[in-house]
Amino acid sequence: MSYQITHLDALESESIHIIREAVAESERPVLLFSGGKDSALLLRLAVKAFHPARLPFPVMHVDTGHNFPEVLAFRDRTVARLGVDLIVASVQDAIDEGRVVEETGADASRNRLQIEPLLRAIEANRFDAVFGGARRDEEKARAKERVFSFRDEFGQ
Amino acid sequence: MHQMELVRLATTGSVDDGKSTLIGRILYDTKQVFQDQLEAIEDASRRRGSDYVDLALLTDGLRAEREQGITIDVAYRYFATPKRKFILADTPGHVQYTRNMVTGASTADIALVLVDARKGVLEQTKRHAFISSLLRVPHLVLCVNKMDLVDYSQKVYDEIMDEFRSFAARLDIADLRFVPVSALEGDNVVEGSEAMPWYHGSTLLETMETIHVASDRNLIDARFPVQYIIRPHTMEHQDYRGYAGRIASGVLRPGDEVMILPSGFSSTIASIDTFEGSVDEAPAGLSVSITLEDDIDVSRGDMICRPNNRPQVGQDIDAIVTWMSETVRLRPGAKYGIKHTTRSARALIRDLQYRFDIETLHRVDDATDLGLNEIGRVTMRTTAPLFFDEYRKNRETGSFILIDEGTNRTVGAGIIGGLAL
Repeated sequence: MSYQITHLDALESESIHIIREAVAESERPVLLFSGGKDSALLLRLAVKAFHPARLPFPVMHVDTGHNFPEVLAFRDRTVARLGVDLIVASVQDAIDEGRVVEETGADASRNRLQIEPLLRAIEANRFDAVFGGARRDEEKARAKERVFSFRDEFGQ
Repeated sequence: MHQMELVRLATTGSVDDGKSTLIGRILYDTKQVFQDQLEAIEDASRRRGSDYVDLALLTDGLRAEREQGITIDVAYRYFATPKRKFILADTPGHVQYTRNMVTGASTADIALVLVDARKGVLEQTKRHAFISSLLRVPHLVLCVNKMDLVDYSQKVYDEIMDEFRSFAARLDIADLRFVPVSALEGDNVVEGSEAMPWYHGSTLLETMETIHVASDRNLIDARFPVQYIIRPHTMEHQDYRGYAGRIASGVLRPGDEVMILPSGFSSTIASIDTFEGSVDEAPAGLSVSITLEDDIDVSRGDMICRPNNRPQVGQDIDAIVTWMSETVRLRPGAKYGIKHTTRSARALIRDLQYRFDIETLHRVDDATDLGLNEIGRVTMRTTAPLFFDEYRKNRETGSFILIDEGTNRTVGAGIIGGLAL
């Protein structure tokens, strides 16, 4: 047998290594899971990292309120199957409570509005490590995102 | 799915060397650029009054960086050819980015160093080569770029080769190659060059696709730093106790007799498990979970190895450190957190033996401290024994980071020379 590792095995092993390391070094980690493709992949890697044990931390969805019902159904089915806790931080609640203001105009989006409920939920649950999935080629600056990114008390 | 080998590249060079254009050219000629990306840079090039499409715009993230206020760092770009999958760590070449260069080079299989054919071998070129050699990047390719601006002259190319070779003789470079290219015109990057019929070697891409990297991994010395203990506490797996980690080097198989450090207890590997099932053998680089025949105490930070092939064990360590902190300086007598494989301890810097002048590569013997981007040789004492190999034999178990205990920031990256006397 050859000792060659394929590119997918190499990348997966590196990801699992990073996930295990972050969990070993933190007290209260959480993984961001929306049911979308990037976070579904991230969750799959995390499940592999701790197999055959259950995922040793909850997942969190920062819910913009703009979802396809099928994606939400997939989200709920997935967390039920894995037996993990799901925390939902709602952008709609943040708007209703006046913590953020809905954008207007043709380019209005709730993407930026996710920041407030995210940071609020991190603080309320005292999470000290957050896993997020993104693609390097999504945008030029993403190519330079660090694997471990230390944040201050303002989440920056 | 077609399975390919993953190869990591590190590239360094200043803006003027044409590095962004070279990377853009590789992406463009290997058909990694989408139609809308291409239209965007065609548009931008026209607006700027360029006569040609500026491929550098494909990777030029500087504007994005300024807008988002993030620091210039290592950029990772992924691309593939039918032969290999590449991850390119792209780092700026100026001296103030030495720490970024070290980060990029630390995991690279191949270093691409760029020179401008009009300028030849500069201080900067030497610094890049020195860092590649220090970090033991196994292959170095010197890309002599902008050959179109020296009339594709073989004489210019030969002179640069000679000069670089005589400099490189002082370094520890296992495999050195040269390619004359014009990133702007596309000569010898992906396609061959009609303008340089005197060059009979491979194009840059062929070189990247064919350099034999599989043997660069250490498959001899079995080292498994224990990262995490997996205990499911479920009805189905009540008695399961797996030692999770990534095999740092060597190959492990069920039935192998192993020794656990620091306890010195021996056992036998019962199984090597992954999510997909148990495997008959697992080579360096794979993340797995190991179960042992015997019920012995094993914790995170322990090292599993073979009884007849053990790492060195010690608390007095000789190392070369690259300093990465803007705010604090490394000084003899200072204490830091140290993270080595999965093991954490504290380290006291006993002595700074010398600092490298990274412009001249001379040793500065009377150095009293190390500042940002400076590289020096230290001896240190750790609060707990480390299980290590010399970096030249093992990049995984031969490297560590130093951590500022007040802020938890990584302030230094080190490679181990051996036990300190």
